[in-house]
Amino acid sequence: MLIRVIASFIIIIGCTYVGIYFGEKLSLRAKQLATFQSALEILKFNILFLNLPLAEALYKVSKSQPGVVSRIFRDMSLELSRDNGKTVQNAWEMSIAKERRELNLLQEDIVALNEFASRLGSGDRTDQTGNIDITAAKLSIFESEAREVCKKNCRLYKGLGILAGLLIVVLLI
Amino acid sequence: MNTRISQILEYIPLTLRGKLQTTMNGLQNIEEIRFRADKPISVFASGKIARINEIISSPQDVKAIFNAICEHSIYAYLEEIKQGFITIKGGHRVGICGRVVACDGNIENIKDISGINIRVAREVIGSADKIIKEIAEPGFDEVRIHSTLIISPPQCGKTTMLRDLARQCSNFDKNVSIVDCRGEIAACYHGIPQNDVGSNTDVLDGAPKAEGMMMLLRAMAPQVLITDEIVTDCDISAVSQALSGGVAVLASVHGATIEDILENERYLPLFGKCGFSNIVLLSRENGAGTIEEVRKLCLSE
Repeated sequence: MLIRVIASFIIIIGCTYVGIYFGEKLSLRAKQLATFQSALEILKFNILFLNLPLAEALYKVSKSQPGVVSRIFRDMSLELSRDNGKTVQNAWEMSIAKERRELNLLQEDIVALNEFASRLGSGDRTDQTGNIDITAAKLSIFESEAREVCKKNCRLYKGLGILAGLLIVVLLI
Repeated sequence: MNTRISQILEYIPLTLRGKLQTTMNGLQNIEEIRFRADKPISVFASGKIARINEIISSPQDVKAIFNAICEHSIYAYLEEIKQGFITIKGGHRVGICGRVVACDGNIENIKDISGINIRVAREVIGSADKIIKEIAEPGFDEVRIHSTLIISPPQCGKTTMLRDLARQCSNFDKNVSIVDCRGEIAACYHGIPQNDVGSNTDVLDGAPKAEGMMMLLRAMAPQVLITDEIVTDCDISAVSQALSGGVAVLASVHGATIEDILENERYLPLFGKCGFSNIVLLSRENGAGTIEEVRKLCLSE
């Protein structure tokens, strides 16, 4: 009997965890989009006011951000500092590809970020701030959408997890 | 392959670098490397142009070199781009050519870069050895620097000599300040002089000469003030103010003879009681930096 109780408990906990995991994954997109926006704001400051070259500006951004966003900016900065003939776009795509599994972003988010990278570094400061502002505005819209989806589905996933656990237990008993 | 050429090769795309390196290994005294879109690379070495027909630089190669020189940050180099040149690590000067974007007659940007000329930095340590005795007079407890004007036509080594004078004056424990309007004397990269201008030397890089001199006089209290190519009336006025303020000024001016300058009314404020004590005339008679004459001026002259 005790074994059955323990097994049921483990099943319910496991299923609840799976539900929470999927719910969290949904909220992670919104969090990462918000982090990218914050990174872009700092990049804008480094370009507009400090006039730092791109590699240095990106490195400073990486120091100010957490997790995967920090790694993307750091890797890109290192790629640009190396004497390997890479373009900004190449360096960005390489950094994104390296961290793709850690990024909980949709294809549309990646497309917006790639477009941003294709214009990065070319043109004057006004062009650069325009590029950053447009990208930040897009990411902000995506973030709002992601938060809406999260609001709708997060509880659903968590609830489904618990219910699935209970169902399995009932069926097994 | 010497260090200076290696520094330049870092900016060249990998597709061209190997071949160019191999070709340049066989050349001595490389002064310039030119890249033009869809044209062979040409190298100016030992006074001759060597066209490397087997290496054609594509428009993409030229663009890649330009981006590497700008550190992929055109916005950060826009002021230099407007002037048509960028100084890179090592003090090498990169001239750029392409489509100019102008507004109200002022150059705003250069786009579609089609030509790049990398001038290899040449620092001649000791080029001022022959005139330093005339300029630096040992005193009781310290060396006294006499204000000196270097005159020569272009390409005769005025800037090279001023650079070496800066180094030598600095080594006499003098506070030396340089207004490096075009970045030719100290060749600063990210604000740090790439040429040896001495450890007691402050460089105001990229500043207009007249404003720069006034700023340095107010802010850095120099004992020796150095500037290249006095041209405008504002430059003359600023040098004159520095001279009358008791600062030793080492400067240069374009001219074929000493009389050209002494008899030019515009330059009169630079001579006289508080003016330049020495004039040095340079030529290319025996190569750049040949000293034709060193004339000491009487205070009443």
